Amino acid sequence: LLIAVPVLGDDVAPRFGVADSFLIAEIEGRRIVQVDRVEAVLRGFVSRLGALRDLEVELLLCGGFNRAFLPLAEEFGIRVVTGVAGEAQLAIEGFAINSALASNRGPREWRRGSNQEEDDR
Amino acid sequence: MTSDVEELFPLVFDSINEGVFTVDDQFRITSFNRAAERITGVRRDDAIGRKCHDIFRANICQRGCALRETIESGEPKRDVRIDVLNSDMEVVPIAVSTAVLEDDQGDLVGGVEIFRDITDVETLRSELLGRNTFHDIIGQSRAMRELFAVIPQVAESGAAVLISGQSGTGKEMVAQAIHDLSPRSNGPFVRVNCGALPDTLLESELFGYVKGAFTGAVRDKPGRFEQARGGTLFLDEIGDVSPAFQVKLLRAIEEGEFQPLGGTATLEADIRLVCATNRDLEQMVEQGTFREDLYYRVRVIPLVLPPLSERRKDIPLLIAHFVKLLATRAGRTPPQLNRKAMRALYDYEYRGNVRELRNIIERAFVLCSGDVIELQHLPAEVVSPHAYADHDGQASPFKPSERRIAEAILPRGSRELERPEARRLLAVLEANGWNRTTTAEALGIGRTTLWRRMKEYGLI
Repeated sequence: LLIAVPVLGDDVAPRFGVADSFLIAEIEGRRIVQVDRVEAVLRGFVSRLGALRDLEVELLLCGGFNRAFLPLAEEFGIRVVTGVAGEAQLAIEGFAINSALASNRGPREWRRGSNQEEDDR
Repeated sequence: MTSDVEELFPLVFDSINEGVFTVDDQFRITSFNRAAERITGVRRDDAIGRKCHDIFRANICQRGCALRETIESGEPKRDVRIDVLNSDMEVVPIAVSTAVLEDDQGDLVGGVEIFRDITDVETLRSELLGRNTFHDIIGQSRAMRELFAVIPQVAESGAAVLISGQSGTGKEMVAQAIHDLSPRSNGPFVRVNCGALPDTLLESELFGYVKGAFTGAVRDKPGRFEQARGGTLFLDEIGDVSPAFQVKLLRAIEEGEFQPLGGTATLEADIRLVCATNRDLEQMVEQGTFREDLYYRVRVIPLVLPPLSERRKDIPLLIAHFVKLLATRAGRTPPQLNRKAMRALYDYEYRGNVRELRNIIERAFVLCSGDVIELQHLPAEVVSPHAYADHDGQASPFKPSERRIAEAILPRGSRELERPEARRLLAVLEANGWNRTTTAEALGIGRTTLWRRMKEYGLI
C-alpha cells in the first residue's frame, strides 16, 4: 500500500493544493518499508492527483482538501483522509500501526458514493 | 470593577458575531470563541492547543500568513480577504484582521485574529457584478460552485476529459470552458457530434479525405482532427459511436496519428481530447457495446454535470439570465415573473434541463406582451402536472386531448403511456402538432433522443 502525505516542513500541510512536497510511504502489513520525500513540482490540483495516481498511491492523508475535488480523487482510486495534523512521519507511523487516526484529532475519511464522511476515531 | 470586567469578558468574547482566536508565539491556539466554532465547524476544545494552520487551512497558511507577518513586524492588518476550509472541507471566504498580543511589560506573547464569514457578501458582490457565471455557465448552487472550482485545474492538466450529464446540462459549455482555460486556448475548439453521423461520414469528417478517395471527393479535405491541430477536439455524444468505429477512434487516440480516407500519409494528431455523453458508458462497457480500452482513454478525467433538478437553487438565476438576455435582444424591458409562474418553474421536472428551461422562457417571453410573465404564458405541462378528471370522475393521467390519442394508439390495457414522462412527451408532441423538430426543441433534446423515447413509449 502506498500512502501520500503533503507536508509543510515536518508537519502535515494544511492544504493539499499548496504543499511544497509529499512524503510517499510504502506500507506492508503494519511495517513501513520505505518513506521518500518528493518535491511537489506540479502545481495544479488535478495534476497532483494524477501524479499520485500514476505512482499508484491508494491513500492520501492530509489536513485540508477542497471537497470539490473529492469525486475526482475517488475516480482516481485515491482514498482521502482529511483533518490529519501534526508531524507527517508520526501520521504515517500511526497509520502503519493502525492508530494514525486516533493520534490526530478530527480526521475524516471520504468514501465512495455520497461523499459522506466517516469518523475514524 | 476589574473583576466585573474579567467576568464579563468570556460573555462578550462568545457573544460577538466575529470569530476571534489568539495564538502563542508558536502559533498554537490559546483561545477560540463561539463564532469561530461556527465558521470553522471546529469545537473550541478541539481547537485549543493546536496550530492555527491545522484548524483554518487557509490559502495563505504556507505563504503570506497575515498573523505571522503581524507578529513578525508588529504591524496590524485589517480586512485581508482569504479563504479557509471548514471541517466539511468547504471553501469559506473570510476577512481577517490581526494584531499582536503583548503582556504588561510590553513583551510579545502571541497574536490575535478577528475574522468574519463573508460568504453572503461575496455572493451579493457576485450577483451585483453579474459574476454568477463561469465562462457563460450559470450557477451558484454548491454542485456548480464545486464544478467551477475543478474546471480550471482540469483545463490546465491537458488530460483527456469525459463530461457526462443528461441532455441540456451544458456539456458543450463546460468543454468550451476547459478549452478556453487550457494552454491550448489560442488554438481552435472543434466540435463534432458523433451521434449525428453514420460511420462512413464520421470517418471522413474526423480524419478527412484526399482527392479521389470516393465519388465526389474532388479535392483534399482536412478532417476535424487536423482542423483541431494545436487546440481541442470535442467529441459530443461519444456513446453513440458504433463499435466498429470505436476501433478506428481508439487507434487514432492511442497512436496519436491518423490517415485521411484514401490517403497514404500519416498525420500527427496534435489535439486535446474532450468527450461528452448523456449515456452511461460504464454500463455500456459492461454490456459490451462500448470498448473498455477506449473508455479508459477518453475518461482520464471524468466530470459529471448535475441535472437541473439537483440544483434547483439555480433556477431563478437562470430564469433571470434568460429573461434579461431575451429582453436585451428584443430591445424590451425585462418582464418580471409573478410568484405562481416562478413557483411552477421551480417545481417542474426538467427532462431537458437548462436547455428546456431556456425554451420555456423564450416561449413565455414571446407570449407575454406585458411586464409580467404569468402562469398562462407557460406550457401546460409546467403549469398543471397533476391528474385530470376522467369522464366518470375517476382520475386520469391524461388531459382530454391526450386521452383521445392514447385511446386511439394504445393497445387495450397498455399502461406504458401512463408513465409521467410518457404523458409529458405526449403533451408536448400534441402541443407541437407532432412535429418532431419543434417537439425536440421544446423538450431541449435532440431529434434522435426524441425518436428513441417515442419508440420506447410506443408512439411510433
